[in-house]
Amino acid sequence: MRQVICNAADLPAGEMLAANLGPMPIVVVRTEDGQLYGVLDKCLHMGGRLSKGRLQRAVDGRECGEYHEESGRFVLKCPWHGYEYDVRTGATLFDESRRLTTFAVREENGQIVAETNGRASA
Amino acid sequence: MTAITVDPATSAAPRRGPVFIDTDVHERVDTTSLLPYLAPVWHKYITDYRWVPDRVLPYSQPTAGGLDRLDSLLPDGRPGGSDLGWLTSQLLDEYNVEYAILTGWLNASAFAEGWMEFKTALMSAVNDYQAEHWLEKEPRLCGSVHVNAWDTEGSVREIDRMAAHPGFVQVMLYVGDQPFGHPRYHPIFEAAARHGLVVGIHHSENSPVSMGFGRYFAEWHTLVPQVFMSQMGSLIFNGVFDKYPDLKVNMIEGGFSYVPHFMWHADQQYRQLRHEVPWVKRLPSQIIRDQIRFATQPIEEFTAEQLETLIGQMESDELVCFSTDYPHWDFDSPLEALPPDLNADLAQKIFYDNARALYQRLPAATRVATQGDRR
Amino acid sequence: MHADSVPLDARPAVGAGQAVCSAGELRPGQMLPVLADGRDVVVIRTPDGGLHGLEDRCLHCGRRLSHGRLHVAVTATDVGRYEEEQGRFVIKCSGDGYEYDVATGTTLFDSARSVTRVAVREADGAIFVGAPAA
Ligand code: FES
Ligand code: FES
Repeated sequence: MRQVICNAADLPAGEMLAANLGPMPIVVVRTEDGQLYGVLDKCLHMGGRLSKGRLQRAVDGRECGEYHEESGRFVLKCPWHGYEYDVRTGATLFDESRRLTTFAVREENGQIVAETNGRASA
Repeated sequence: MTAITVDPATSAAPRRGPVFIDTDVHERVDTTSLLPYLAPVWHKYITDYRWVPDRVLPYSQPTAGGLDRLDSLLPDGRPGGSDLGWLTSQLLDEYNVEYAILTGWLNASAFAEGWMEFKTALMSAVNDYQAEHWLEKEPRLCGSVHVNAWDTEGSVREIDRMAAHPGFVQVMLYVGDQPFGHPRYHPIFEAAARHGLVVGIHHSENSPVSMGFGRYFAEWHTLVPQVFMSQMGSLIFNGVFDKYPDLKVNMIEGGFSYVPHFMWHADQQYRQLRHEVPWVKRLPSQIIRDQIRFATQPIEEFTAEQLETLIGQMESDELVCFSTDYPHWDFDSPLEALPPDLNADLAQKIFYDNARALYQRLPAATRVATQGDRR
Repeated sequence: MHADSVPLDARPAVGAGQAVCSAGELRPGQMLPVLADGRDVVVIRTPDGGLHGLEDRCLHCGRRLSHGRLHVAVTATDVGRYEEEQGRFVIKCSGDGYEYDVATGTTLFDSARSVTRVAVREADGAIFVGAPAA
């Protein structure tokens, strides 16, 4: 299944958009570095709408008290309990094996297009 | 709560889920809205001196939206729970709520002790505002009488005053750093029991865990059940339940997975040390089964088997009552918080029957809630 | 003849209905462990002179009750008000402190749990355990 989501200009870098791909609610993301991603818009925990959460840089730390932003890695943080998902893989940051369905999202002729069966994992 | 397959229903008509009684819903009022309900002598402290409620938590809530679920914030920037229409559409109409018990936001019991005159007056204002702007406008909402526990006499006066309003079903104590079993607080429990009001004991940001707040929110929030164990130990061993056998207490926002451990451990102490607390006449586990209930939120991810085992260890399936904690960040959805294959009778008790049995002042059932209404 | 002073291997062993000691040997406030017809029994003389017998074995981990303490029962009618119950005596186990009413054998924390009572009586200047000898 393939569908036009919006005009490319409607989704600036660092923003996200809720859409439907057929019957499925999806969230389409353009990260700050311009990459496009799509995941199912429904948190694996209790179904919070991820499109109502936050698109943030992933934060890591090697030692107690150290915080650093991971360059090029972006997460969707659920508006409810805050589960974090890597937008590239759909995997939660606390458990690689728990993953949202991902969708292929591309820019074609000035439009953003989403398609099922995209990169299941990066 | 395991990986989902796409549910076509998500984009069609909303599933409203089981009929339930929500035992923890936070309505919010900003302090300036309370001015009409406060004697003029207090106004300048809010308008000119900008009093703000105590808040001693040493970190921010590292969640998407702070204290509130991000999608509960109002478009005009007000915090979640500030608007009746918004609360109605996000909670009461979105799900199958028969009654929602309001638990508020401002409660002086969790503040520091000083300046109790102002805080007692503030609690009266909160109660009057709640009656007028929430309870009298939406019949699905039930109220909690907020009191300043530091002022026992003032609390009892307030309970007696608000008990005359049929919309109130509970007396609200937020937990700060005081265990409520101390005899100074007993008249509050006496007054609540006398009016058939449940005493709701609710967690707050001002409550340290046993070694303080810890360095991280995650650390502190993990240990919230500790606070409830402290309160239960205090109430039980200070004889509150023996003194007021009609009293019912609901422990709100501490979850319930700690309960079997507490029961086993407290019973063993009682068997061994009873003569130190001879005013306690029943095993703690029996006191709990007779007089204490637990709101579910914040619930862990349980399998049906784990949850059924846990309830079995409590030796009663009547102790746990569903709660969402709307609009706060760790809101539990009635559609997904309990495992989908949980025993249907148990789910019915958690969602509905147990709260109905607990809150004696709830109006009669508006509709017959059966398991058929689930999902 | 206080229990503390009776090593286990020195406790009297008697057959059914036999005298375990002379009446004067068990004074008010004292307990005596005996092996009566193969059973471990603690014979108790309460401070008011009452005579009681219980199986000498705690329900919790099986310690000998005769190694515990004989106390007046403590109750309360209000928080913080300790009151002794006149005429009611308990053995408090030397282990973890389970309390037993000496007259009934019942624990003070759970009326459904009791140690077995054993008949004891005083006759002809002696104390007997179990049914009187034929
Ligand atoms: S619903 Fe998304 S974190 Fe709970
Ligand atoms: S053995 Fe008697 S109380 Fe533990």
